[in-house]
Amino acid sequence: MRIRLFTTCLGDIFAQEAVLSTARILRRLGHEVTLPEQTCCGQPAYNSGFQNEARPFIGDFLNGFAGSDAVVAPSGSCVAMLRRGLLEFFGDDARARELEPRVFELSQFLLDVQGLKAPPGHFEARVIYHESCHLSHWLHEGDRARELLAGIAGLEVRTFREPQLCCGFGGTFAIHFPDLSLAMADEKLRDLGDPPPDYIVGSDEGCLMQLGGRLAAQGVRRPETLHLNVLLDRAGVGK
Amino acid sequence: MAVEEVVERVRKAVANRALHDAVARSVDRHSYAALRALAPDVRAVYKARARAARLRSVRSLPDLVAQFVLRAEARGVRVHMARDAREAVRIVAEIARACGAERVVKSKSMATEEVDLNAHLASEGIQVLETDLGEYIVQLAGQRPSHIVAPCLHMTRQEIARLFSREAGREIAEDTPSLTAFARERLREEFRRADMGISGGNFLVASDGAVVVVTNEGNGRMCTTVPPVHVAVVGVEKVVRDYEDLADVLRILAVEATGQVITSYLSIVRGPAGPGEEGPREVHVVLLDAGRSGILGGPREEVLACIRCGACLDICPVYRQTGGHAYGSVYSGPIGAVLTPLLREDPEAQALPFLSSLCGACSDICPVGIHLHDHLVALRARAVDRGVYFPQEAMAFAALRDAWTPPARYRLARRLLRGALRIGGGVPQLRAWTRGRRLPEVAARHVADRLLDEGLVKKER
Repeated sequence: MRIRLFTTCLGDIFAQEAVLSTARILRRLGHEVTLPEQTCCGQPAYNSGFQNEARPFIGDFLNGFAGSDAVVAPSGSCVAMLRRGLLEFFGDDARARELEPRVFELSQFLLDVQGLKAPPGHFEARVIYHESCHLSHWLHEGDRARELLAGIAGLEVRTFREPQLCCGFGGTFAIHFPDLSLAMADEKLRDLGDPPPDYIVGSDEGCLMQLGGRLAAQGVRRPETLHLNVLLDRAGVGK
Repeated sequence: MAVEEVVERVRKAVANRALHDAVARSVDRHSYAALRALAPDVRAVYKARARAARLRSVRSLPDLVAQFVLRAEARGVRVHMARDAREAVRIVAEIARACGAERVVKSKSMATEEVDLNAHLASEGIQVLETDLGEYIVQLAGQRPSHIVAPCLHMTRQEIARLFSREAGREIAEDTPSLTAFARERLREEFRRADMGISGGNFLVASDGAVVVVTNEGNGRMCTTVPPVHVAVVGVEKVVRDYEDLADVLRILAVEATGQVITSYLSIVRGPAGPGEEGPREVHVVLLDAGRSGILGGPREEVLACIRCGACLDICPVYRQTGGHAYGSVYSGPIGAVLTPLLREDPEAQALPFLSSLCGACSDICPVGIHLHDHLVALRARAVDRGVYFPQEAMAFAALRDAWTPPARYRLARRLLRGALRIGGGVPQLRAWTRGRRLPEVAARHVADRLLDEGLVKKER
């Protein structure tokens, strides 16, 4: 299959390993991966109420990605934005309606299009899985991405006691209400367990920046954050 | 500016960790009980039926209200239409004056909170005593309810014992039996002496002209049956078509609110007592519009389907940290952040939709399937249109759009980003992030170049 990669701005700026791993996994599964000209999905503006400022971002996405068999991104949050933006801003454009259901977060693609079920791999670590809200509530996937971890040898996975609790990132929310956002991160991080796991694993860089950035500011070295796609890549999924 | 007021209230609420502990304990109790009460597949069926019943009602609201009025009046209920808060309090005050009421007992009504009824009646020399246990406690504390189902959820047992002790003039122990015993003893006497009882209404049954009141304590029923005059103040959107639809909604209400499979008290008020019957000789229903009709037929219409179960407050990660008072509105949590700007025109109300991380847990839990996070996003855009947004953001997002679209410009901006962040490290937005969180290193190269170098992707165009 010919797959177009949407790298996301956070992926480009802060989390390039997640992007590289996404491409590697897709290549290992035999796909051709291409890279159209692209920018951000426009979510910061959109979620802050500036829809006119968000619209050109979606327009650029449509121009660069129309006619794709599939688009894959390493972020449920950006995928939710792209899908919503296509229908909301360009719903009367047939190209947008055709593209919308073909935009996937990697785990969605692997489970639903590729049909993977607990793919084998090997990765020695104890991890805690963070359910990102945009994947679970906006894209209605719940914690299905965990299925991708089930076949990995050496991996011990647990979940937060309150998996539905948002980490407090929320994009501009973290800047609008910094104290509140930090309190939400702290509540999440109180549930890491003792001893703490090696990694907090999630599939959205925003959440990982929030939780990892909080831990780093407190001088905590363990756990580190690890993007789900990087874990899958290092575990050799798709080989 | 409006957003700053919300930010400041939130900052104060978050600084109060005892508040968080009290709120978190209570909402978890509700959520877990709700989770245990029904199997997921059964819940899905109940939710679908409740949503269908509520949407049916909302979509034919004017007709159903007309039918309710006809049936209720036929049974001797006096129905009053209140276009806004002012009319509602005027109507209730007139009823009170006409029957010479001086002492009023009230229970379970967010609608009367919305119109600020107590203060208005007090200014006319009429004392209103809250009799729902939670509302009684909140009234004693000189506060407002902080949760639509559990008004004093933000308070600890110790705080309540202190309030009661002050009220009693003696020490009241902080165990539940002692607290409820005191409240019962104090309130019983008030029910007997009251000239008028005011209640809210969870639903109005159009086919029968009946007001339905759902409570767990029975105090609500005392308000609707013991005093000689009963006034129900009810939001006009609470109408349901008939008892079948009522059943579909009730089946999920108690589950979502408190995790009970059925409520303890279900009162169906069908009119004044006839000759030889016990009960109030006068029953009035005040149907409160106060902005609700304006929501009908528009893109936010489904918000009127809300059954005030409080599940979205209980699941909300923001409400958990702030409690209800930080919203500065009678209705708090996700539904409050959506409903308030629709009912109130002031800028502060318009700013409430920003008080959410948009996690969407509320939309998933809502038993009538209101797409709360979608409405929050849409109402943010409306707020911006009305000039309510965070400082400098209009400029910032226009600049971001110009710097990052089309993609060729993003490439350029991306190259300059590291330097820009270093120079701009002092901007308030960035400081808000770095105070308490470390920002990861900005990658030196564009990720596209690395992908191409590794031979992972082919470039297009």
